[in-house]
Amino acid sequence: MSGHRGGDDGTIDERNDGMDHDDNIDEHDETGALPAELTTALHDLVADERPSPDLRDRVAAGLGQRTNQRRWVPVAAAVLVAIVAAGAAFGLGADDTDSVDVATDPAPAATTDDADRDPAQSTTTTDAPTTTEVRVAGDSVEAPTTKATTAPATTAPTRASATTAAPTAQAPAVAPQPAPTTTTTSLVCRNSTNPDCGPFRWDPPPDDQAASLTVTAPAGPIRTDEQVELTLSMSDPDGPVTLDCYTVNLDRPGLSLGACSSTARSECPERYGPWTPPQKNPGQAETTTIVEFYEPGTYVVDVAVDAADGCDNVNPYRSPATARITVEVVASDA
Amino acid sequence: MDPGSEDMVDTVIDVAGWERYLAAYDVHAPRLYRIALLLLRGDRHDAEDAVQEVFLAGFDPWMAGRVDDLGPYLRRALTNRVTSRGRHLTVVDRFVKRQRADGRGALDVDDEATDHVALQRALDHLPTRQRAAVVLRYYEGLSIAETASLLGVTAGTVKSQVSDALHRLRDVLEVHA
Repeated sequence: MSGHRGGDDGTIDERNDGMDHDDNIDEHDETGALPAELTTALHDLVADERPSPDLRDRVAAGLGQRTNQRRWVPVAAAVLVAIVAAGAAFGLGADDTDSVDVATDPAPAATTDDADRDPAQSTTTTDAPTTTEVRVAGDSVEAPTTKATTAPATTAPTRASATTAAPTAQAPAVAPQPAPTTTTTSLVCRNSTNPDCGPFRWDPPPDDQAASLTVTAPAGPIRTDEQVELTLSMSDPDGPVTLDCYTVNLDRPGLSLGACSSTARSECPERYGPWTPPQKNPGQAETTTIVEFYEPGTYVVDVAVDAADGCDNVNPYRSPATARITVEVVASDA
Repeated sequence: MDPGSEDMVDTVIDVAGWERYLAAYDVHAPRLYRIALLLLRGDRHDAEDAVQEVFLAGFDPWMAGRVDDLGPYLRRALTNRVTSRGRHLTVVDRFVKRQRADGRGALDVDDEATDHVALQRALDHLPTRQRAAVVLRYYEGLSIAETASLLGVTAGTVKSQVSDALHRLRDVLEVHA
C-alpha cells in the first residue's frame, strides 16, 4: 500500500522487507501535491483556535498549589531521613556512617534522554537524579560507594527501598550486592507493559495470511441518482474481521458512504518490548453500504477495508483487504 | 538547616519562578493548544485538559533547570500523553464522501467550510500514531528524524505511518496531485 521506493544508504527498513530504503526519500516524492496542501489545510483548520482564558487561571491555580507543596518537602525529607538513619543505626552496629540520598524534587527527572519516553510522566531516570545528601547529625559520611549503588538504574518510586537497602550494603566491603535485591533488576520483558522494555514488537514475527474481500452489486439495471446497496463480504483465514472501518471510492461523480465505527474500538493496551502473537483464529463478516451514481456509464468501485482498530499492537493477524467491481449505470429515465 | 528560613527562600523563589512560568505559558500555550486540538480530534475540552496537564507537570523540571527549551519539551510531553495513554475513539461516524462534479478533485473556495469538516473527520479517523505523525510532520514541520524521536519510533516507521495516513486522507479529501 505504501509503495516505498528502493534506495541504498545502508539503512534497513523496519518493515523487514529485505530492502534498504533511503532515509532521504521524502514522502512528498510519492504522494504528490497532497502534503503541501495538507500543511496549509492543517494550519487553516486551527488558525483561529485559542485556549480559553480559564485555562490560564487553572494553570496558575495549579502552580500555586505546587508552591504550597514544595514548602513541605524539606520537612518531610528530614523526617524520612531521620527514620531511615535510625533503622540504619540498629542494623549497622558499630558502623554508623550514613549517607542517604533523598530526592527533593517531587517531579520525575526529565533529562533529554528521559524525554524520549515521557518527560512529564517518566518514573525512570537514565541519569543520576538530582538528590540532596542529608547527613545524620554526628555521623560521618561514606558517600561515594553508597551513592554509586543507589542512584543509577532505580525508578523514582523505589528510591526509598533503594535507600533502605544502602545500609545493608555497608556491611560487606563491596557495595553492589544489594542491587540485585531491588525491584528494578527483575525486569522481565516478555508480554510486558513496562516502558523500560523498549518499543513494542511481535516476537516471533507473525506470518499473517491475507484476507479476502468481495463486493457485490444488486442484480438488475443500476440507474443514476438512485441509492444502490453494495454488499461487502470479507474473510480472513487467521484473523478477526469486523468490517467497521472501510472506504468506498468511485472513479466518477457520485456519492459513497465510508464508515469507521467505534463499536469495535477500545482503549489500546500499553505494550512494550517483545510480545507473543495471539492464536490464529479465522474470521468472517458481511455488511452493506449505499452508493449513488450521478452519471450513466461504466463506474469502477474500489472498496478498502482497514485492518487497524486504532490499536496496532493487539492482533497482527487482522488484515486489510481491497476489492474492485465495475458497475454499468444507466440514466434514470432509461 | 533552618526550616523556617528555607521555607521563606523556597517561597520567594517559587513565586518568582511561578510568574516566569506563567509568562512562558503565554508564549507557548496557544500553539500547544492547537497541536492538542489536532491530536485530540478537535475536542476543545480534551485539548485544554492536556495542555493544563503538561504545563503543570513541566513546572518542577523547568524550575530545576532541567529543561533547556520549554516549547519542544512541552510538545514532547503532549505527544507522549496522547499516544501513550490509549486511543479511545468515541465517535460513531459514517462519513459521506461526495465526488466532485468535475471529477478533478480541486478544492473549491465555496466548499472551504465543508472541506475543513472533511479534513477534521479524516484526521479523526486516523489511528492515533498516524495522526500524531501527520500533525508533527505537516503542522509542526518536524523532520522525519525529529518526528521519530518524539514518537519513540524509527524513521522508517514514521515514513510508513505518514504514507499510510496520506493515502487515507487522500481517499477522503479527494485531493489529486
